[in-house]
Amino acid sequence: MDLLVPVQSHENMKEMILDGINEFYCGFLPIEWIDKYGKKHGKLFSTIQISLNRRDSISSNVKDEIELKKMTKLATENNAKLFLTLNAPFFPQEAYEILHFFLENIIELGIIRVIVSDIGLIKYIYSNFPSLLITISCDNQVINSYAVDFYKQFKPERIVLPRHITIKEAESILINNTDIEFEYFILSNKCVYDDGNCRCMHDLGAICLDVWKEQCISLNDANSVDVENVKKANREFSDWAFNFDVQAKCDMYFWKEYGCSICSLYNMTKYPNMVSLKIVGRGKWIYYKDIFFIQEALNLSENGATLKDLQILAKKTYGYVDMCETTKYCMMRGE
Amino acid sequence: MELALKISEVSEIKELTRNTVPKNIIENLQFEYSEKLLMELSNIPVSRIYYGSEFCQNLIPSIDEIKNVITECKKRNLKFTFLTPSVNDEGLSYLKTIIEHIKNESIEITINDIGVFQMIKIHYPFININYGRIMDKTYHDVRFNKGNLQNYCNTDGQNYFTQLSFNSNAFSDFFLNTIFN
Repeated sequence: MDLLVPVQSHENMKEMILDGINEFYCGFLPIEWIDKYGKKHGKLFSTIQISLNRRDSISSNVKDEIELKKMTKLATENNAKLFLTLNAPFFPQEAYEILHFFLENIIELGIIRVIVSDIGLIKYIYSNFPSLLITISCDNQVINSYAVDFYKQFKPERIVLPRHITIKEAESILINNTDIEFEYFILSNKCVYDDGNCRCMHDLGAICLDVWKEQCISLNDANSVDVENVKKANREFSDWAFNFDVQAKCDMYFWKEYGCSICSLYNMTKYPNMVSLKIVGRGKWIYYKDIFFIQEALNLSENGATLKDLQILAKKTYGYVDMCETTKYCMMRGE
Repeated sequence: MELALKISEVSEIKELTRNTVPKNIIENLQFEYSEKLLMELSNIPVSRIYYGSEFCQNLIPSIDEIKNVITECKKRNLKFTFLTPSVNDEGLSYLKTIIEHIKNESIEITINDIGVFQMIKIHYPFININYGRIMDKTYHDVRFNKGNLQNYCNTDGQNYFTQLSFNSNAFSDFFLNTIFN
């Protein structure tokens, strides 16, 4: 099983290739798109309000064509895979004029693989750009085997399972579809809500992590609402959904803000069609220590480690001896 | 154009008077719509019932509950739409069992999961399918209102946000061909 790591430059890629990584993904925005849909706010022009992908920060995309060309060249020379994200949730008709030229351009720059979400664009690429290998995005909410069957008509190279999928749900899909590759998020913020149904604008921040003020209003009879119990239920839900401290005892780990799901490798490595572990990116810096942690867990799991072995590694890494027993930091939520 | 009513339980059909929109619904809408529109609405007969779950597979009704609603619809000459949510393999298997029980009724099904679409297309191609609202992937961020959007985006961006991917030629051609072929 490979690790799929986000990158933004060929220099970044070069270092990771030396560390044994051979799958990468990135975003790239053509200048025509930024000119048409970008709006400066004050002196800053750091975000794109309508993106081609789920990277709303301009700086989290590859900066220009020259850089992208260097990256595709490096991938080819090292037999590595580079995936370009084109997974904005929707593309209306007016987007296709720029998209067509963009697709022609990225092929010229050496891109072979694209991650796509919008069904119209998937069909468009499949029909008009057959040289591009399609990956079905996590945003497509593939949580059952018939959904896999639907997307097979576009001959995708790979399907990314959504962040929130449980091991049981993933296993059912993997067993029923041995003829296609799957990818799985590891250690990322496994959103408790449906990944493919998120309609929030990333530029404003994750709506699910916002802190809201509770106010219970009855439209009919004020006595009919048990305010205290509603508040209690709300608190309990928050505790369950985001049950981790933002200051873990470990140092430098990006995931100290999110949580752990490393024990899921015990199940996921059993399936030969689960080919890649995706590390969440969107412009965030990935520390080498984080990658080494996952590589170590992967090696352990592929060499017959037990669930307990993986939990011991996680406890050692995160610095909490009771993290699995108390489900503190547990993104698998006990499943 | 037809007027449809989404219900949560069969008793809501039984309480319908001459298939008109219930008064309590009209009253709840009075803050959002004009009096004239609501007056017109109250005079249009309901011709279709929507029943099921759009958002959660744990809330899919039982086969008996669905059959009861269909029976009541028939009695009142109302058409029936079964609403379905996003489901995992277990939920999809349950939906298939339900559809097997009601497939001979005159129904249409609203899908909110592409796997459910595929399952119906393969096993029940004679059933009419609606593309559900969850299949629309446009942004619905509650932190925005119209004024915010005008400040946030340029004019092209604002126009972009008012459009759907369904309207792209690639998308609509594909689904029309898939559904009707």
